[in-house]
Amino acid sequence: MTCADVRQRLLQGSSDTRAELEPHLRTCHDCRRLAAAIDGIDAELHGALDEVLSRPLAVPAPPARRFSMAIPAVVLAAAASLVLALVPSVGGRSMGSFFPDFGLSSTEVEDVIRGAEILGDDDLSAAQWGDRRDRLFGLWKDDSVSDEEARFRLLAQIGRSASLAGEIRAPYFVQQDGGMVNHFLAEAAAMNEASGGALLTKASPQVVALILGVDPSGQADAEALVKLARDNATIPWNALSESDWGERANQLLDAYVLSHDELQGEELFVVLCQLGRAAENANMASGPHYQKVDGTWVNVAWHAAATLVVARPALLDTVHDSSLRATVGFYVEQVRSGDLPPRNRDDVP
Amino acid sequence: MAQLAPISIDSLAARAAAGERDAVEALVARWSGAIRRWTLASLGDVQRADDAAQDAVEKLLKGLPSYDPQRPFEPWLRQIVRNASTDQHRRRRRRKEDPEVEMAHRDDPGRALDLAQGARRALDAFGTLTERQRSVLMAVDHDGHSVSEVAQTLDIGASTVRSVLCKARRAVRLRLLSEDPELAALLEDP
Repeated sequence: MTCADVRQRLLQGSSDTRAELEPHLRTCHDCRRLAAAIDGIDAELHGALDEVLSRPLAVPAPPARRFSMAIPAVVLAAAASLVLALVPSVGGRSMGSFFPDFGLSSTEVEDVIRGAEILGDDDLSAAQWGDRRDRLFGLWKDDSVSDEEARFRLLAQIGRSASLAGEIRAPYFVQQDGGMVNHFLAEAAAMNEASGGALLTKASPQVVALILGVDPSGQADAEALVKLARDNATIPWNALSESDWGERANQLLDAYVLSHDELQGEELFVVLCQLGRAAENANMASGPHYQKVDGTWVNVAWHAAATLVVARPALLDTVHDSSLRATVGFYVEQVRSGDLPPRNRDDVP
Repeated sequence: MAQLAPISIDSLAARAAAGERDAVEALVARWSGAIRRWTLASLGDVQRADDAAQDAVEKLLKGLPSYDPQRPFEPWLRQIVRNASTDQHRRRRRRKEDPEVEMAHRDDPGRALDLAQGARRALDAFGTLTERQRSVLMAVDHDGHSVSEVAQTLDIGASTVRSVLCKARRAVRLRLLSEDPELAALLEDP
């Protein structure tokens, strides 16, 4: 074993692999010096992590709240009824003046919105979602929510809670074109539209599909799916956590399964590319987004996207993200060379 | 990364959710290490991880009244911590758009963690790794979990864990060795 070999192994090895290198280290002063330096670095990092991870976290005193969110829903509902009688428009924000100033600070407002965002759809019963919806509605009427992003997220969560409460009634739903429309989701969608789509990147994953009109219960349409994918393309990989990317990947996959038959050409390609990207960013190196082909895990959406490119090479030029283009291009080469068999769009997942 | 050695915590969480102050403090004390690991793995920067961990505790306290003791505590807490880390990402992004604010934030002495210079350098190098590399390196080299345990927890192959681990060690060591010209020369010209 040469010094170069030993030094490379020292660089990436553990103390377990050190034993194999001992005979060389006994005879080579420079390599022994390097090994000692690496031991010092490891010890330094270990000690530093020990110090940081063992620090206790302060437990703040309970905040003195001026307004308790535990106000019974019935009180808020009664207040809501009063407002409805006085002001027909929810989106106009004019109703705030009819309500007392509850005096929530921006931090408290953030906590209430965040409290709704972290809940999964199945975390509450329909009745509990109804309570949550009413509380959030009470907050909406408090004009202290002035920040545009917070207002958007609040609208989205009211709309989401109203949907999950399973109760089609005003003010949460309004009549439109002969049917009932979720007014708050429509308002959130309008705000997002006005922002050029920027606000949607601030929304929690659960409401993105709702705002874009993808109904996870099975009413998804192809147009909404493409919109969801294009929206996905605007989000930098490091703007979301792996878990949030995972939710996006599953959302896209659910919608894809329901409506990919209606897609062709570039639209199908962009959906597959973004589905694969969301799964990759989520580090979902297992099913259903990844499958083993000849012993190797492959990203099924990228695999199918690559198969489309083999039939129509110009598709790859529509990908502007260079990293994504290179990755899909790699799959294209594998399909072309026969290392991977072609994957039909129906084989996703 | 998920807690590798989950603590049975549900009764404590239930008592904390019911508003028992002692239980709240015990709950935070028992989970502070995990909270710090998650934020540090996610953010890399010790200072920002510290901020996110403290934010997470505040959010935990505010969220406890709505915690359903019938549900497992750890995933619920993980989501809170993840949100706190994402918020830190967002705040940093906003600060980066305004260099003066970013500079003031970085130089704020009240924010500085008291760490020895060597520890600070080691943690800076650690912060240059990817989130997955940080998680794996902490779990194996610091916490002493085996490669197969980590592979199982992350639901990835053991060979992938080994590969991530090697790259992580190499990156940290190279970065710190490069600060010493003599040692750096050994790597260039064996």
